[in-house]
Amino acid sequence: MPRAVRHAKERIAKDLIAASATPLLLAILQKGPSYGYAIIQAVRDLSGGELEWSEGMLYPVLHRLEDQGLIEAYDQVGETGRKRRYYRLRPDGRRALSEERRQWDLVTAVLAKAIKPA
Amino acid sequence: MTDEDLIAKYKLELTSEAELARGDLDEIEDHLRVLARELRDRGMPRVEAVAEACRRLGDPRAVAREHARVRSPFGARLAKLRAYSAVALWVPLLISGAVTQLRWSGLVSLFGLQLVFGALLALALGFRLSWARPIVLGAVACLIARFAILSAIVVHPPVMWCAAYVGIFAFVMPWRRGELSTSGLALALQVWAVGSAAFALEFQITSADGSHVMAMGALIAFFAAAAATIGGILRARWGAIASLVAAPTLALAMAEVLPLRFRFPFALATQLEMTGLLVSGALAATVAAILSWRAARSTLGTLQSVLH
Repeated sequence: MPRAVRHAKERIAKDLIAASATPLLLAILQKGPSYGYAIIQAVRDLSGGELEWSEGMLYPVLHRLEDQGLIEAYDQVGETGRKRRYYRLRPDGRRALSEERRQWDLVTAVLAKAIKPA
Repeated sequence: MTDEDLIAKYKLELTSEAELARGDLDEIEDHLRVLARELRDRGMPRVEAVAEACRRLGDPRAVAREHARVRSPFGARLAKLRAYSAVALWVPLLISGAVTQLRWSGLVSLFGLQLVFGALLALALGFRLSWARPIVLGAVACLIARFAILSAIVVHPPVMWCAAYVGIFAFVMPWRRGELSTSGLALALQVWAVGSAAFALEFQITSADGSHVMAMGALIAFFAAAAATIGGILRARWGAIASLVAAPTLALAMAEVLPLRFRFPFALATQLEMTGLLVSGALAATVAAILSWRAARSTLGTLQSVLH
């Protein structure tokens, strides 16, 4: 088996992870405000461990979404008694999520049609 | 090495690669600690748990670089070598400007203010503040355009000055795609509009026949474009509105100064220069208004990116 294919079988490709990060984060935050570590847990639970993110890279993505006005950050004292930064979805984020969803549905539908044996 | 040492080491590696805001650093440390505690609860020894948490967070240098890229809203931060080279070219220009102009006009004059503004900008560029780069880009581009028009037709500005400006331009220019963000591009265009309004203002202060011309268009355009630049740094929506005011007033300024008749021999060249700069300034202000409206953070703006 070629190395690239074997690699692809082991994990989801990097490009795909990067592309799906925005809709995935928006979808998780749509269920309610959350913070970095809990978001990573949610991603792992949702994907059954198939989606492995480099955890440190989550924060720049969150900050980019914050900068785009899709989510907002606020500080709250967590269960540990320490101040912790939480994120919540903004109305623009909700709109962006439904647009992302439309695009992903389209891509998967086209893919399914293309792959289906004639 | 204890677990606390490992955490301190990871934080040091992060901050030595790029400056991280206090809150951003706390956020990563919190993640590190929560993850390490979780691993410890699953039976991992104390030090190993922290080491594993560090590994899962990823290469601290890559994480820090990604943070720096996302957190500078006007585009990629200028590399040290490029920033310092640009400042090194800038400083002799400032000194020679001070030596020749201050004797005649003093600090509180148009030239004096230009020098103060230039010195502040050089300082901002030296500290690699993210807004300094697009502002310098717009300002130097405008100066080079003026020099080019002048030297192509009539006067020959000193070659050394031109070379220095072209050099600065080359150092701050975003040669790679995506190096300047939408906000950064809007800022550069707004400064171009300021430059063209300042040019029209020069005719208000010293018209060719010695009389004073009150060009209201140029005056309003100058202040609107300058306000738009400040609004751009604050990433405020009012900056876009100021830019939208600057566009038609620059066109008005052109209508005001174009009928001026000059007695010196290269009147046609001056009028060509005027038309070129004011038309491009009005266009730049229009595009900047659209871009900065789209990239604005809020109505009033934020001080977040000023010292970044």
